[in-house]
Amino acid sequence: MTMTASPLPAPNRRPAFGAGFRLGRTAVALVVIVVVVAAALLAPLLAPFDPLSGDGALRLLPPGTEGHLLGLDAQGRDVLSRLLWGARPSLIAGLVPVAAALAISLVLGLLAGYASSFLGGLIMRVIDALFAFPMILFAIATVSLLGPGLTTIIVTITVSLVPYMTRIVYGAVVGEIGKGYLETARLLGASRSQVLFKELLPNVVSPSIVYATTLIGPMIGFSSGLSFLGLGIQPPNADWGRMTVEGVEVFAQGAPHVVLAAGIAIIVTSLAFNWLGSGLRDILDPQQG
Amino acid sequence: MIAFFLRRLTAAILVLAAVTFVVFLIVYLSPGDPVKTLLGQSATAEQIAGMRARLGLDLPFHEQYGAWLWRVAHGDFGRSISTQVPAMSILLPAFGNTLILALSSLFLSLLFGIAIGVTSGFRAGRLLDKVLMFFTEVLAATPVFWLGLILIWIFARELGWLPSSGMRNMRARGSSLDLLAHLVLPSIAASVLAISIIARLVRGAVIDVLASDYVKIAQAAGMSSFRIFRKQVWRNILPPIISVGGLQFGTLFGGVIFVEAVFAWPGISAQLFNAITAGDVAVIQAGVLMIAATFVAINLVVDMVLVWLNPRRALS
Repeated sequence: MTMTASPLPAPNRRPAFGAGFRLGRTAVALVVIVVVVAAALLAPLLAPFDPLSGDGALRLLPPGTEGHLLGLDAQGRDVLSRLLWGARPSLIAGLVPVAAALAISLVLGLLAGYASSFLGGLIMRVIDALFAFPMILFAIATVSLLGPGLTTIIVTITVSLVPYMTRIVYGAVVGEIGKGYLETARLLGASRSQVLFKELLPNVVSPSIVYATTLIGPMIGFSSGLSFLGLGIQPPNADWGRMTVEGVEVFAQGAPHVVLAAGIAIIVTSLAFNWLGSGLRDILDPQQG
Repeated sequence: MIAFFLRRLTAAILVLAAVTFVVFLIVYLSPGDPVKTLLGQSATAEQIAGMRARLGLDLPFHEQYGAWLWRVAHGDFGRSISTQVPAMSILLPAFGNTLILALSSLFLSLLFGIAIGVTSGFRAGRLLDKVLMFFTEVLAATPVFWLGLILIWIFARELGWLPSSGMRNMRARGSSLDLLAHLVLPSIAASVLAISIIARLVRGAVIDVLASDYVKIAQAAGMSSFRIFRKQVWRNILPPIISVGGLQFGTLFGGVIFVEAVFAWPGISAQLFNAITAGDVAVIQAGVLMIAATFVAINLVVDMVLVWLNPRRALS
């Protein structure tokens, strides 16, 4: 089965914005990411209240209530504090699986493209079979094996990203082999492993990192979706997806601020990672831009 | 063409065979004993052993797998362990409902994706293009379930224009207008990611075609933009649209689970979810297999259409 594109957001082929604007955008994205990461790391210091215990008397008070910038949730817990603490699992779920899948895919893709054709064929056929599995089915299967939680989210997303990333790495490897310089290096006396690690790997890594970066944003969204379905973070702890679920329950009571806060956090963070991805592509992989 | 088709068909069958193995393995490995669930806490060890033997659960893995595969190949997907209804009679109606949602989302994805992509491509670099591209970027960053909730909030709760959940209104049973009203919000939520992907792809393709020599000649000869679009651009952007559209259709099947959850749509993911909670092995296996088979079949069809449009593809 050939798949000509991935169902994950593809990077823009022809950027709508000029180079200067896009550089500025990448800078904005970096600032946002630094702020979000810092907020997650410093949550114990920054959060004005305990994210897990609330004051029932203050439940559902709107943003701007004294001392509670983003208001309170259904159990009278401070939304800002929960948002700050929730950044931790949300960022982990976006970053760790993408990094893990990148590492696995680099090994698989290099093996498939550069090792024996039998092994290569085998790897790529298995990858093809994995493509027939929608991501969410992986999630369900992993939950039934491991139970819900952050580990489940990480394993699920890692496993489901490997086929996509291995395709990209494999494609890059085949492309590099076609350029002929690897043959030249071999003829000049380089060993197989020298060719693999010194010549091939550096050229395959940058397009792979660019692709991986574009996956972080969607995976933050996907992981919050898993928590939304009850497959991820369990109460009373919360990532941004779990906050959305809790917000939904009070939606009808005229308190949309919990859902809005969580959703805007997801959108802004995802968008920042997507912009960083296209910025990195401009820098590392200009032919693709 | 026929050789290509046979090759692809063989590959598809091999993939499906691999899927059956994975499906069976996952269920085999998963914790929870369906027999204990079935017989309850008070069951004696003999009763449990007897039931295991009757269900063939005491056999070694390869024999269980072989027996299951044999039955599946003959169209017998087993019965739900809790309700004793055949798995397929639970899943088929739900599959139909998911298909309705997936098809209407595909329609919206193509309609808006192509409209935005073509507009942006013809206006590349202008303000409209920038606004539209920013819009697609925000759409791509918006979680589907969250968007669904916001749509419910605005259009069902605040404005009261559309129903917030389900597929049919009890009072308006069978009315297609009622079904359509229930379809609008879930279809929009399910299609945003695909709209954003298709729009960006179409935009790139339009820009490529507009930069080509033959379009420049046509423009120089005074051909109108609309004619250029109809005669030149359309033909060139069709293949990428079909391949991404097909792929999106496949992922919609797996991805609508979020939308189905938010809008309480009675589709296949709801059944699958129930089955998992209940440890209903036969329904899980049949449901996963059904989704995977649909995915594989769609890809096969997309490949064939692409080769039909451009026979040179068959050689690669």
